Amino acid sequence: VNTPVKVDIWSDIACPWCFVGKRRFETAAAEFATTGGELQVEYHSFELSPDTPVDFAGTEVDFLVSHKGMPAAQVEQMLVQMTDLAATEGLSFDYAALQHTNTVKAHELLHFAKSKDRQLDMSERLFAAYFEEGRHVGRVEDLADLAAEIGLDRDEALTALTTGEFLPAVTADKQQAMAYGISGVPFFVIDGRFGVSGAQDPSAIVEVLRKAADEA
Amino acid sequence: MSSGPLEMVGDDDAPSCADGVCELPVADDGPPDD
Repeated sequence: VNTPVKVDIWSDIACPWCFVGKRRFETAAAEFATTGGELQVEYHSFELSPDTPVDFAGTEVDFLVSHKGMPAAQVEQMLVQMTDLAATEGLSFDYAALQHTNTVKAHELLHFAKSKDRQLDMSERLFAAYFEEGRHVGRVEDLADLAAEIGLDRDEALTALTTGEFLPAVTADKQQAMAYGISGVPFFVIDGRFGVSGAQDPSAIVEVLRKAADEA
Repeated sequence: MSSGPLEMVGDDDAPSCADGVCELPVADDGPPDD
């Protein structure tokens, strides 16, 4: 019997490379599975821009212009490139519809979903809602809707978000990231021993998964 | 969970986001692997 390889993934919902990296990781996981490999995957919270207001008054271009200090036309071109690259992973980014927001409540929802063994589905739902569907992922009512869409109890999710029940879990994830020295996402910790930074090519991930499995 | 030092593996240049800023996409060298 194979021992599953533990994969801890730090990411933020408002992180295009995290969604792309998620797809690349899933490709790697499928390849790993063909050779009998088993994985135990857990997502962890990382806030790229915790100062962002829930109701950010502006477009994604406005946000990036202010953060990067680049001309709007250059940012727009960058987003076109990012959209094209995401499309190669089967993702349909829609930056014109995207609603930039604070993601701490989305992270709380991921922990709520984890408590119901539905974290992976919730992660996928949140990424798609944010990057592909122009849904708001900062307001608790909208987040409760997304929870209900994967079959979780809407009222229970809303209560958890309103009371901040899972905020300590978000904080603990951020502290763990600091302890590991994680400064950017996505970031993969394999078997608590190997660190893999960024949206890696699937072959690179498969290689480290096999290394971890062989050395277990 | 351990907080011990991690052995960094994989491509050092893989793109990521940090401090609210994401690295620019780079031009494709060719079609994606299938």
